[in-house]
Amino acid sequence: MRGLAFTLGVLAIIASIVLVGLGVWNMQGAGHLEWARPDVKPTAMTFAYKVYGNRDVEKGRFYLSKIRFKNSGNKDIQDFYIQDFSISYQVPGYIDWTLPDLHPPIRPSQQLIEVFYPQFPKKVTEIKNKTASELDIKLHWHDGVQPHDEVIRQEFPFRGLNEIEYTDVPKEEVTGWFDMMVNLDLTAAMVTPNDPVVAEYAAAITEKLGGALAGAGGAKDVVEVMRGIYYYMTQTGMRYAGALGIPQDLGDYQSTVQTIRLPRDVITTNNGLCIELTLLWASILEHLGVESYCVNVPGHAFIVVKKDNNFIPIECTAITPKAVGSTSSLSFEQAVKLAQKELSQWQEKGAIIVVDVQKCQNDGIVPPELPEVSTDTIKSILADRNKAMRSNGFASSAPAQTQDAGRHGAGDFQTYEGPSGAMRCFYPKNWASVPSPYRDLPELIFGAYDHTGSRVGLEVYHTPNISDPAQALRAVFAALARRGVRSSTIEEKRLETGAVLYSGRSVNKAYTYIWLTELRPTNVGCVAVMVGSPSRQFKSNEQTIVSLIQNIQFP
Amino acid sequence: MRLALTAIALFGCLSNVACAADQELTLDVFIDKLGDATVAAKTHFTAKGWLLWNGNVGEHPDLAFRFIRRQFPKADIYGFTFQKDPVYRNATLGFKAHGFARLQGDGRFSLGEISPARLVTNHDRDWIFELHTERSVEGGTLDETMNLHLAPEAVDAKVINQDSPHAELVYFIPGPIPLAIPFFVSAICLGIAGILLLLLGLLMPRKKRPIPPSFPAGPDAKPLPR
Repeated sequence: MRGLAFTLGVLAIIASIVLVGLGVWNMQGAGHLEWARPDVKPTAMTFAYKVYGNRDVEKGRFYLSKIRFKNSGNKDIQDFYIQDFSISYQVPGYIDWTLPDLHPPIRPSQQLIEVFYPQFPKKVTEIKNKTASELDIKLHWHDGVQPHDEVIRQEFPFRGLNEIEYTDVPKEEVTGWFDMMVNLDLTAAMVTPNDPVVAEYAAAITEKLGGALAGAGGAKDVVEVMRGIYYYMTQTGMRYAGALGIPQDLGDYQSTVQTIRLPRDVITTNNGLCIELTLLWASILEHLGVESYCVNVPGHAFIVVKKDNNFIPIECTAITPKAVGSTSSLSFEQAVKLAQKELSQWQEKGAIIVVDVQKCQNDGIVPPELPEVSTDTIKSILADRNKAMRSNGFASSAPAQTQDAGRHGAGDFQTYEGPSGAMRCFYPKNWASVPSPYRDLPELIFGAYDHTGSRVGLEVYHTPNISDPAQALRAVFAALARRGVRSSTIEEKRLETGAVLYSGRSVNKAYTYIWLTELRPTNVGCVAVMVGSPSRQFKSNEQTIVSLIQNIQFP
Repeated sequence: MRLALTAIALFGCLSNVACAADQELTLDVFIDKLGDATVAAKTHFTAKGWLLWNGNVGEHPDLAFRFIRRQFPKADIYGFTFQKDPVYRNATLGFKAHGFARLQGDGRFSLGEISPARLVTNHDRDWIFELHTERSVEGGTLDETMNLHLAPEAVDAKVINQDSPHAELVYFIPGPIPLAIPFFVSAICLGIAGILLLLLGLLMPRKKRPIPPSFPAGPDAKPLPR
C-alpha cells in the first residue's frame, strides 16, 4: 500500500506538471489583426459634403471609406483578443487627424467593419473641378504581446461643386439603368429651398399669385401655386436649356457624371436642363411648404406634387414648347397632361426612381452652405423680368377693341354704350381701350384695361342670335377657348331684372383671371359685361370690380 | 430592424413593381456569437409584378447583390444566393454578413434601430418584427416580416430606448472560459492529490521482514547470537 501511494502520488504530480505545461503552452501566442484594402468611394461629391458626415443617411451608405478588420488568432481566450484597437483619419488640407475611435476588443475570428463618415469643412464647396486628394487612416492596436501602429493611405478625388456622379458602380459592372443611378437621392442636396435667391424667386411668384401660399389653402392652392410657377416661368422667359437630360442607357455611361447647376444659377441665367428645372421647381415648392417628388426616368426628369392623396406631375420643360415637340406654347393643363402621360408610361415599364425631397432632406441629404449673394442684385434681375412681363400686355388672351358705338367722356369716367344702345357701362378715364379687335373673336366688342396698376379689365361681349344667358355664356367661353383661354363659372345668381350675375375664372398661358359678369338678354341678343383681374390681385380690386358691375346700365 | 427590414425592400423598390402590386416579404435572419448573420428572404409576385421584376432584377442577380451591399454599408456581405421560381412566381435570395450585429463599446451587440419596424413578439432568442411600407409615387404597399434568431450564447436580449424613435435591440454574448483554466485547475487538483498520496505513503508503516524460525534447528543451524 505504501508503495502504491508513493507511485500514485508521483504520477499525480507528474500529470499536474504536464497540465501546467499545457496550460502555459495554451496561453502562448497573440492575436493577429489583418484587414482588407479600404473600400474608398471613387469620388467625394462636394455639393453633398454634409451627407458624407452623417452616418444615419440611408443607413450610412454615403461613407467615404470602409475597411474590414479581422482577428485571425485562433484561440478564443482573452489574451488573444485584439485590445485597444483605435482608428483615426485625416484628409490633408481638409480634415485634421480625427480623435481616435476606440473599439471594444476583437475576439479571434471576429470581423469588425469600420466605416468613416468625414466631416468635411465648407471650403470643399470652393472646389470647382475634379481635384485629387488623399485619405490617411491611422491604426493602433495591442495583440496581447505588444502594441502596433500602422498608417494606410488611399487616394480619392473630390468632384466640383456642380458635379454629380450618378453611380459608383464600376463601369464594367453596370448592367442597367438602376446601376447607373445609385446616387440619385443625392440630388435632394441640390434642392435649396432656403437659398435667399430661391426665396426671392418664390416671393416674386407668390406676389403674382396675390400672396396666396400653398400651405395655407390646401390642395386647391397647391394647384394654383403650380400654375403660378409655371406661368411665371413662361412669362419671365425661363427656357429649357438643351437636350442633356439625365443619363439614359448604357451608352451614356460616360455621362453619368453630370454638371448640374444649382437652382440659384438656373434662376440667374433663366434657363436649365430638365434635371435643373426639376430641382428648381422642387426648391420653390419646398420653400412654399409643398411636398414635392423628383421623378427620374431614363433620360428625363420632372416634378410631381402631392395633392391630398393624389400626385400631380408637371412637365417642367414645357416652358419651351420645342422641348416637348410643340410649335405653340403649352398651357399649364397641357404641361400637366404631358407629364401624366410620361409618368404612367414609365410606371408601366417599371423604370422610375423617385426622389422624395422632403424625406431625403429630413434624413440628412441636405444642401451645402452656399456663398452669400446680394439679394438686391437678384431683386433687380427679377424686377427687370417683371417689367418685361408687364410690357407684354395685361391679359394676352383677351385683348379687345371697340367695335361698336361711341365713347363719351363723363368726369373721371368714360362711358361705353352699345350694342345699339342696349347697354351702358363706365370705366375710369385713364384706362386704355384696345383699338383693334381680334378677327377670330367677334363676340368681344369692347375692352378697357387698367395697365397702370390695378390691372382690372372690362370687356363687353355680344351674342346677337342668343337670348338665353346660360347659352350666351357658353358661346363666350367657346369663343375664348379658340384663343387658348379656358373659362369656368364659380357662382351664378339670377337677378330680378332678368340679368344673370356670374363669377368665374379664365385661364390663359399667363394668368388665372377672376371675373364677375353681368349677362342680360336684350332685343339685340345677349350682352355680357365681364370685369375682373388676375387672381392674385382680385382681392385688392374686388371693390372696384363690384362697383363697375353695379354701374352697368341696361336702358 | 431598420437595417434589415427596410433594406430588403429589394424586391419592391429596386424594380418598382409597386405600381403593379402590393407585396409581401419574409426574412429569416440567424445571427451567430460573433455577430455575423445568415439571411434568407422570400417573396411572391403577382403576374404583372413578376413581369416587371423579372425584367429589371430577376435577370440581373448581380444588380440585386449590389443593392443588398448598399443596403448594409456597415456590414460585409458575401455568400450571395439567388433563386427564382417562374411557375409560382416566387423568388428567394440569401446572403451572409460579417458585422451584421455591431459590437458596442459596452461589450453589447446592437442590431441597430428597430424603427420604422414594429416588434410583434419575442420568445427567448427568437424575435419577430414587421414593417408596412406605403410607396408614394410608385404606388402599392410592401409588407415585410422578419424572423430574427439570436445566437444560442446570447443573453440579456432587450429593446432599449423603447419609447424613442431610436429604440434598438441589443444583447450580450459572455466571453468564453479560457482554455488554460481547466488545465490549471486539473493540475492543481492532481498536484494536491499527488502530495497527499506521497504523505500518506510516508505515514504508512514499513512492512517487517520475516524472522527465520530458530527451532527445530537443523544440523547446520548456528546458535543465535546472544
